[in-house]
Amino acid sequence: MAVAGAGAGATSVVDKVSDFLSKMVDKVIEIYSDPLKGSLISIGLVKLTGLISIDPDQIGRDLDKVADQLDGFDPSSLLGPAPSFDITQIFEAAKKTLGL
Amino acid sequence: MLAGSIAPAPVVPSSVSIDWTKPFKWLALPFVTAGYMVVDGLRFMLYYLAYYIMLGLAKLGSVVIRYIVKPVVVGVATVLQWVVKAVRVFSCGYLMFYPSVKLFKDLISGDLLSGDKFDVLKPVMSVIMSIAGVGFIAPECLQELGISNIVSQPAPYPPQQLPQPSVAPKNFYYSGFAGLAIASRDTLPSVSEVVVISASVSIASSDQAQETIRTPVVYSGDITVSMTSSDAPYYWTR
Repeated sequence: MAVAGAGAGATSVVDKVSDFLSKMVDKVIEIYSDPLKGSLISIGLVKLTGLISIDPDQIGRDLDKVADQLDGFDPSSLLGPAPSFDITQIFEAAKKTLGL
Repeated sequence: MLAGSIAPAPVVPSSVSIDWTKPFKWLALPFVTAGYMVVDGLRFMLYYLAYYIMLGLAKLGSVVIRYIVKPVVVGVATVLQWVVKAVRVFSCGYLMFYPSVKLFKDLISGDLLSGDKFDVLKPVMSVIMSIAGVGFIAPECLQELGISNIVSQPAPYPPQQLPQPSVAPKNFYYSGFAGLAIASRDTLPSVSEVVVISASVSIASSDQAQETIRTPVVYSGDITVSMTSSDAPYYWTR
């Protein structure tokens, strides 16, 4: 029952999406059928997309750099030098505290 | 010590003070040491706990970025790049062809002249608009449609220089062993000079080393010779 309901829901979503897409395509075809509107929109799109510059390789290289930096991260740069655990020093400190 | 001199009297403290707390301090020492050990141990443990948590998070972040974020982001960026490219190519192609084709089609079919003045004006306007638009974005469109590449390619003439026939180099070194190295004008018609660089036998004197090919040159022993010639190939007889 639940599976059938989920299936029906998925079908309705697919229907809605396909309806939306077909309407969008119809609208685009309608606009571009008019050469005047289509020309204006095309000019706008070319100028607009000229401003967008996407270089996936560069993005990949930048992300690699960040990953490399994380790989080489040294926590002691934030935490400071590591504390020592020297029993002799501890004993001497205790003696000093007691004034011995 | 001189006889009859008086030895100095030993210094005797007038009063001896005894620190009665000292034995208790010694007794307390193990406990204080243990306290210090606990505190230092805690500090040590917490430091390395924080250290390895931070190190682990950094490594985890690195792996997540490298193997999850990067493929997703690069994939999305690639798709966006394709979309932008597709939009540009479509827009440029549309601008360059569609309005003119539509006008031509309407002219042919007679639709253009069948309506009122506005029906004629509109397609013409659209063509003018598209031509102006192409002029406005011409370099981008030419580049997008690959026309720039065709235009900027060099003319196919003159043809590329053919590779030279495979011949011996103009200057080369010959190193032989014993026997004879004979070079004569007959066997080496194009060689202008033969220079003996080194010879292990005494025959190759410095004068002989600069000897030209005018006369047959005969050397024996190990010799190294460089030749200069105006053309090739060279022939060597040993």
